[in-house]
Amino acid sequence: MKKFLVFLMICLLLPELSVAAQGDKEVLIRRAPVPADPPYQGEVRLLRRDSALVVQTLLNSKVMQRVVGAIQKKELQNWPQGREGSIDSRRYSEELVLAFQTVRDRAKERQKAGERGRHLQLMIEFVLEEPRGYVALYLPTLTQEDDRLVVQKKELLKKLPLSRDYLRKDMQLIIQDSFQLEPDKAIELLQPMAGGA
Amino acid sequence: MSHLQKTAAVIIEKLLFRLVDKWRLPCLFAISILTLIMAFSALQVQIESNNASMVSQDQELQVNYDLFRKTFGDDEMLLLAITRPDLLQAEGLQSVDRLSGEIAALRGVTRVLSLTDAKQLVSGDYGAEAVPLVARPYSEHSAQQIARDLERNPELSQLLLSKDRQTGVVLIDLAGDPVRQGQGIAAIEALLASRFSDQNAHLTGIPLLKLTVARFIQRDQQVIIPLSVAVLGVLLLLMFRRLSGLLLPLAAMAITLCWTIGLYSLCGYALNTITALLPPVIMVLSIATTVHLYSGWLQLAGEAGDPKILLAREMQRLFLPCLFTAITTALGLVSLLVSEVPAVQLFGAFSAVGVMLSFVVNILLVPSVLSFLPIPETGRRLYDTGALSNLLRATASLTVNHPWLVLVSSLLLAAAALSGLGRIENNTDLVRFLKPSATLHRDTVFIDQAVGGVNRVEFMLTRKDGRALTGLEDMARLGALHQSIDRLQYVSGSFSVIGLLKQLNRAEKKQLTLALPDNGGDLLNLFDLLEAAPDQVFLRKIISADLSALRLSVRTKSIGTADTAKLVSRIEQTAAGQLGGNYRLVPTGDYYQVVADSNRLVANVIKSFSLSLGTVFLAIFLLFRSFKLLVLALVPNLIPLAWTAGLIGFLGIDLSTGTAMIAAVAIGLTVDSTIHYLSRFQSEDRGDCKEAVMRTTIATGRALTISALVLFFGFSVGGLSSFMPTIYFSVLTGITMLGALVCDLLVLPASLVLFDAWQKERC
Repeated sequence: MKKFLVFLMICLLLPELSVAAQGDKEVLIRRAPVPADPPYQGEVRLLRRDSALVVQTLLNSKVMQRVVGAIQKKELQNWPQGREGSIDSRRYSEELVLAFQTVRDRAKERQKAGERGRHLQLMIEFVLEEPRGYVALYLPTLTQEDDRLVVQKKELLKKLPLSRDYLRKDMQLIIQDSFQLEPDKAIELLQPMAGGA
Repeated sequence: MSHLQKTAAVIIEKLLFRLVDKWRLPCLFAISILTLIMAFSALQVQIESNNASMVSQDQELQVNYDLFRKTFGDDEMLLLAITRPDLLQAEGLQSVDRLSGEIAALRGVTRVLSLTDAKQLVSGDYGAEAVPLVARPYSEHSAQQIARDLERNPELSQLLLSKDRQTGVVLIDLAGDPVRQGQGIAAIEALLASRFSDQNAHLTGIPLLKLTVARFIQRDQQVIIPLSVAVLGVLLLLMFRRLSGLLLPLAAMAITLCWTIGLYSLCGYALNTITALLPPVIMVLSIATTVHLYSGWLQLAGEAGDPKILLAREMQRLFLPCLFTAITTALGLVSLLVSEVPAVQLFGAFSAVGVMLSFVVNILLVPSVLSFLPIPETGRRLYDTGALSNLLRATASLTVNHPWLVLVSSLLLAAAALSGLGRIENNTDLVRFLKPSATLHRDTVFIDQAVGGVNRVEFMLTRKDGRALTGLEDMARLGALHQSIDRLQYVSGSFSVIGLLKQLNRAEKKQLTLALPDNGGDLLNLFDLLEAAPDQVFLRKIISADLSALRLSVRTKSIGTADTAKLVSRIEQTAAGQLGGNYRLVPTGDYYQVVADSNRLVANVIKSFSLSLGTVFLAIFLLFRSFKLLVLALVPNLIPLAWTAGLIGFLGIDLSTGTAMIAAVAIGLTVDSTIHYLSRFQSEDRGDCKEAVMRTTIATGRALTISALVLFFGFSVGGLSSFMPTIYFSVLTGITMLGALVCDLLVLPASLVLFDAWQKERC
């Protein structure tokens, strides 16, 4: 019985320990607030998580609809109809709008419950790993510490598998834009590590 | 003469004898060394570049203005108006675009807004988007589109375009640092001079006004000082016809000037619009003292005895009158310290110091130098003959034989003049401080007429509970206030965040008309959009970062401070009704400070004049120890002031910083002649008043006439100044001096005769 209880505890804690272990292996390569000039609406980070390469966008904005609109506009410019990857871009854009609506609805509920504050929060991750890649959309709880945003907790809203080519190119464009880099420098930053993505 | 006065006279005579006998060389050496040191310091004097001393140090005003600038930044900008018939056609727009681009690239310029830089808010795929007001390329076909866009954005049109659409306005923000500001303005002026004729480009604004004032002060110093020397030199030559009569007063004047301006510079002050008057005023006042001392020496002609003893005795006789005239003049000037304008305070303090230094210089220098010269041989003859002597005899005769006629006609003239007092109005107009021929004056008037106003009264709106002004009710009340303000006379437009919110709402909702949202949630969304907008520098100029303070700018036509003060008062009354008791609307800004100062001018004039009058007449009483002479001294000194006040009223001259100084300064000066006259009268009065009056008028009349003419012409040179208040101050003070001479030679003797007759009747 005692062994069984210990086994049960280990089974229950395993996912948490796994997340903790994963967190420990997350290495921040570079970060920058977005847009480049204030007022900032969030920040973009380039991370390595185990062997995966992650472009994480944390959004904390009173004008989330406008921010989501700006992202959609860029997607449309970068992935026009007919270009390879445009279908992935459309899927991403649609899921982004749905995620925004969820975020907004939750915020309204919180406001009805008496919570103050007009900021909405959303987290987007472009993850590139072997042998797949995906975009994950989260409803996070972000806090501001000094000049950076800290993820206190997050709730996965959608995990959207997309083609690696689309992901790699879009990640390049995001970091190029956010970190104000020349294309070759952005490509260099996205070079896969040995045995990784 | 009391025992004390006799003892003092003996001591002074002994000291003066020692001065002319043994101390003259060391004294002249010491004066020379000190003058060299002070001249070096005087040459280092700076010129104020920001006009700061022209604004009062009122605590509440200053706190409000500091808070305003901390919240919204500086309210100083340049307005450039470009006029061309094809302004809204391709070539015209290209020209404006090129020009504003070039200005934006200049050092010292921080931001430019013109027709081609301005942005309008339109509906985009994801809500409002900022797009250029005039789309590029500026093809001929876009003229209609431009006209439509301008009609859609009335606030921008009003701000950047004249009603006839042939004059475009470029708003130029400059760096806060005065040096970089100056560089920016100079570069803009050079650019405009190379590109436009005077008719096509007009530039105005507070920073340019400040720079222009500094340039004019420099120009005035270069023109007025040499001209004063020339005018006074010619006058001295004409009056004395002796080389020593020319050189001695000029030397005393130069030394006093070096000492006073040197001291001013050592104290760390820079010359401003008002203290730029110090050199000519000090030169004139210094010469007036020398004229009396030198005239006294000339009267020694033909006297027998040791020349040094004679000189010391004559100088002793003039010592007390000269000291008291210096004191009364200084007291008149010191009364300006009650003014709240630092420039006027500085002028009062340093001109008073200058007058006292002038006495010290004259009483040391004149006897020392004259002791090297032989007693004049022709002096008395000069005094007994000639047209002036005849005129003085006739004047004396008139006052002795027809005293009532003289007194009543002067009083009637004064009463008539006083009726003009009611016409005097408080009014300070910074641009109209400059002559109508000045480029800045012309340009400002042009821009004012073309675009309907260059002056801005700023208001800061807050809630009394300190909450953000983001509620529907806040905006509704502010909107109603805007409508009421726009209907007021002299207002050419009022601007606040509300105009931007209306544009934003129209673009967000894809509406056709400009209106505020009808629910609080939408309004908050608009504020969220503003908070997230990229151009936060612009937004901070109209709303505070925490949204708790709004800027309300009211553009007015180029009216003076009198009308602006009434307008501000009307706006405050309207606001009290429209906003209710939960809000605070505070008038502030660079221009409003001038308005508030002007409002207090009358109170300041009364205060300084009362102080001046009180202290000057106390000094007269201390000198003569006689209530009779004190009362008699009042009449000939108040009458010329009444004449001048009437003249100001009838000529429609406004009461401004310059004209407000006249009364206090003039009373201290006019009384000098009275002191000299009464002092001589006391020594001539041996029981027969009429005979004493005759002798006094003839003996002192020449010196009084010369010093009055010196003061008149000396002050009149200030009429060539670049600033209207300086011109009015100089010319009107000069005229007052002539009036005072007339009163001292007619009214004072007539009053003495009448008073004597009345006393005899009583006995």
